[in-house]
Amino acid sequence: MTSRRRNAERKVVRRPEGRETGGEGSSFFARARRLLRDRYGLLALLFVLCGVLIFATTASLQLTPTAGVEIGSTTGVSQQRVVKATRGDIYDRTGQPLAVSSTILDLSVAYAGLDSASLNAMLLDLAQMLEARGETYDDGLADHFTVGPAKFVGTDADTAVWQTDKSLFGLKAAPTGTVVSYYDKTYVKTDPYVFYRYLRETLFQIDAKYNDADAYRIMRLRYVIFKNSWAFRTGTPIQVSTDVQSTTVHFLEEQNFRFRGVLSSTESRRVYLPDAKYASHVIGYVGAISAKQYDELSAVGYSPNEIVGQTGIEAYAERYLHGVDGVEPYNVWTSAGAAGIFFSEAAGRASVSGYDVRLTLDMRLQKVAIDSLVKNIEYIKQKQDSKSKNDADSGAVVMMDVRTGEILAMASYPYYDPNDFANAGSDPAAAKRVAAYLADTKDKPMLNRAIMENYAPGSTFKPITAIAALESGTITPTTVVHDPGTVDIGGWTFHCLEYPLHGHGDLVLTRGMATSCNIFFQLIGSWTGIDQIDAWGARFGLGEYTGVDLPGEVRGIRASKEMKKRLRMNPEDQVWFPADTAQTAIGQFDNSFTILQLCRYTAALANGGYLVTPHVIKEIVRSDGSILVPETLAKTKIDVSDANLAAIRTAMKAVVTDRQGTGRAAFKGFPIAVACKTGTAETGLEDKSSSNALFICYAPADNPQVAIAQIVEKGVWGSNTAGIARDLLTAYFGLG
Amino acid sequence: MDRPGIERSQRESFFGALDYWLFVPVLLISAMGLYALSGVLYPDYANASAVFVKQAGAVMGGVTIAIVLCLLDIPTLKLLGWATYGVGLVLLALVLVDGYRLPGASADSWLSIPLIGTLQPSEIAKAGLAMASAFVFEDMKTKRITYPAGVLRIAAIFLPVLALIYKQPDFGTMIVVVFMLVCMVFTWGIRLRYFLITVSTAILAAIPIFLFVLKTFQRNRLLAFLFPGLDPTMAYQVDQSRLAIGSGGLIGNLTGTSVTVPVKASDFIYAGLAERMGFVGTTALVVFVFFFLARAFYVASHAPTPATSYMAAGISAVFAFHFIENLGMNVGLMPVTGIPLPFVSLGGTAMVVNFFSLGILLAISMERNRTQEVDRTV
Repeated sequence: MTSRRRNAERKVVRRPEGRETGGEGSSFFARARRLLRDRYGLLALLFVLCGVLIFATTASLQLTPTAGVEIGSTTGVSQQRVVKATRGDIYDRTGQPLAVSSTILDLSVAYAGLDSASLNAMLLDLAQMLEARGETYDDGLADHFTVGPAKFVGTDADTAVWQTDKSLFGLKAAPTGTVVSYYDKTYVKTDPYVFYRYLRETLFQIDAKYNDADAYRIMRLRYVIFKNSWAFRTGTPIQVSTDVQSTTVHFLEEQNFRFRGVLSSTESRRVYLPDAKYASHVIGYVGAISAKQYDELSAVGYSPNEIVGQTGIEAYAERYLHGVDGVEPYNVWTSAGAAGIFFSEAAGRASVSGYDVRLTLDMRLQKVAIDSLVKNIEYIKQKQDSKSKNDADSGAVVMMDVRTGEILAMASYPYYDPNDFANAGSDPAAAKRVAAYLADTKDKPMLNRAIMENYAPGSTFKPITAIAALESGTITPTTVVHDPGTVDIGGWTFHCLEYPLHGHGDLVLTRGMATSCNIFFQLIGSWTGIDQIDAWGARFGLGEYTGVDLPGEVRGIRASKEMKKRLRMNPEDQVWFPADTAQTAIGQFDNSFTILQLCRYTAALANGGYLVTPHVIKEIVRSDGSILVPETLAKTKIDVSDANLAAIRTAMKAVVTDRQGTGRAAFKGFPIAVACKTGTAETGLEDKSSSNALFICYAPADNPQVAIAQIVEKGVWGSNTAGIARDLLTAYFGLG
Repeated sequence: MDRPGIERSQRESFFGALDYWLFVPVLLISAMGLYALSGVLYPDYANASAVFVKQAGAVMGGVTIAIVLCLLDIPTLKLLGWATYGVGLVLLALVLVDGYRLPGASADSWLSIPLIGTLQPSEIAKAGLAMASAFVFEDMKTKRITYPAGVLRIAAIFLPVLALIYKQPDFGTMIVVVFMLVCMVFTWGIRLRYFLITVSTAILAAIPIFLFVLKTFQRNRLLAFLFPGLDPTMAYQVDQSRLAIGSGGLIGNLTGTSVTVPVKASDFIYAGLAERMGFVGTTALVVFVFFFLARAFYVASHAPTPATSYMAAGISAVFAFHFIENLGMNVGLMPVTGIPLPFVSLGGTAMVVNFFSLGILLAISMERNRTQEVDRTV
């Protein structure tokens, strides 16, 4: 073949060096000589020799049995650290995100076998690198002790507590008269400079070659490690810096031999979207686990430094949102010669993100609810009225789908911004606001007024009295009751509010409801008796837990003979009077319920007597979008006759349609028929503040879809608040 | 001398003329690479299957390109050579433009082009250089131009590329380009004494310059560029790589554990392959690789025209450099540089460019099979 090639080439070129020796025959040596003269052959030979060398090295590596042993013995001893699971998202029924997680990068220092001097040098290097890159690192030491000149931050007592903390320095108070030196390891150091030398020389052994500023940098980081020295020694990386830039992490990874033991990890942090504050009471917020929560949750694997939901859905759906933490091995450069024992990232266990929660809330309606609540409170506050002290300041509204119990809007005012809780650790302004939220006992922004507070229902209770009277056969829808203006019930005199001189005259149920005549309901209530009223209140879920999927729901109080005894210590006060029945019948006396209970009972009136379970969680969704827990709809039929229910509904419609109806003005010109009941609840503090204003309604009156219950505290008249319901219905039916 | 009949028609048919000795080893290397990659990717990459599919797609695309290039004749190769050179030069210049440079890459050698993705233009420039300069060498050989004119042209071809690569800076690629040039000049037939004089002068000049002219930091910088292996960070890469290769044993590490080697999917893929397939696999790979290299030089030495001969020599030299440097660095014989293993390492554009170069070699080999009589007895 060689000759052929040569022939071919000779046609075109003449090589400078002679080919003459090429044709000397075909013995092995001749061929070899030709190969060495052939420059292509020479190159190929050179490369193939390299190949032989590579092959030989590979063979020596792979056929040496010890190589495999080494790997076998090193994989089992990897250090592990916990990888926090990403918390699930929360979004509204339309998919609008409300609470999401963002990922941030943290730096930790892990034990890498460094001695004190090397550790100090490395930490100083790290601190200077972080400062040069504009990163911050843990400054817990500065809370207690600063330098330049050395001084304690807190009072002497604070300092003593800090120094005697057994899990920290564990020093003891020095006996009077003792001069405490810096190298002493037993007694509290009251002189800041002695303490400085104690830290610098005795505890952290910082070399004299470092200047004071560098020594303090080392101290800051050593202090973080010192605080967690047990965890550090047992292989847990100690976090020293949070929310660092990715470029810093890249730099550290490139220089990992220099920053021995420094590790980066990702952490997910809760972020609430701007709209979330309108539903803050439903969503809740997350925070560091409390001792009490840890007691409960440690059984399911929570650690003492977990972030958990504190209230709202964040707390209620904690077990879905939290996810499962993973474990990953980590590798550090050690100072030992065995540098570079690195472990596969395949080992360990990946974390599992939390599940997402889809709420039943519709943020469009929720925003309307909050806006309208604020607007109407402001309006009531300004409105001139002989009974008003112009002090309306807070309220709540709940809108529910009467067929399913889905809560479409649940607003409570004043509210808080959950982001302030999420950011309190890093943003002093947010921390200040958090402190203000928690300390505010007047406005109570943390309180979900829809479920955590009981309110006297006032006249919104009257449909219950009417149902009790109808069901017990005391009256029929056509029974005429005379209101003379004043009645005497069990020795108590009651006056008609509107017409104290002559009363409303002859009333049937429809007119009684429309005008909200107290005398009418006090009379039929007295005839019916407290036990019936109590029983029917219970059947409609008043004074009972609604079972809503939110923490902190209160049960409410339903007036009854039993309840009167339970609430009062003194036996003389426990006697039930007929006047108590009359007061109960108009929603006063002991009666006090949550707004959610009122909404649920209104829904039962509207949907034909079914008591639904109100809920804000529509479904729990896996991260791939499939549904883990579907919505559960629970409802129980109340044993009430359709005819009587229809009579109540007719009466509630008349509240809007009757010329004297208390809801007439609010729904004037509204295109959809609304059935409602106003309520003005006396709080017993009328000399100081206005009465509470309540309102319940459902719509459309003939084919109900939604029910609304609302309160404006110190809102003077129930009818004052009707605008909120009107705004919500306008938005719901798309009439705007 | 044309042979009539079956023999000739066989030679002129595509499958009759295809150089299986060149093509099949590469296909086997690629297949082993994909197998090794699948083992490396799954533990370490979150979107492993997508990455794997992309890599397999690059192999398919590369094979297609190689087969299409097989069909080209020499005048077309000349055109393609200059075109490749031009494109490579433009892309190299584009790297210096902010909008196209891949943000975040360690050296400015990556280009980010909309639709195509990221690529290293120096890969394309290398192929273009070998193809374009080969024709100048031929002109010098056949005395169509004088030697000084030829040297000037060679310099005019090489210097812009070297300058642009220097600007990035990517000393590893510069060394590859210089190595290719040296191999081409050597096979072109420079007198051995000139060759030896030039090489020894260069070495002798470099030592005093290095020792006395350069300042310490420049020296260190140059050392770090030339031999990043001196950098202590790299020591553990090689240690880990050797550990991984060793853990492969005779038939591969079947325990499911694996040694962490940085950039195991690209630069240190040989370690991954050795770990997964053991001595059996590494033997096969090394045999395929060096058989392919030997065959590539055989094709160069038997090329139908001088230009294709130098072209093939240049391309083969680049392949040889890549294979030997990468395998050598994996086993700890060579300093660590960012040079991937051709046809194996993760990286779509490098894969496609490698198959492009292979296609040129195949085209040259087929051209020879078509135009020259072949002694079937050998």
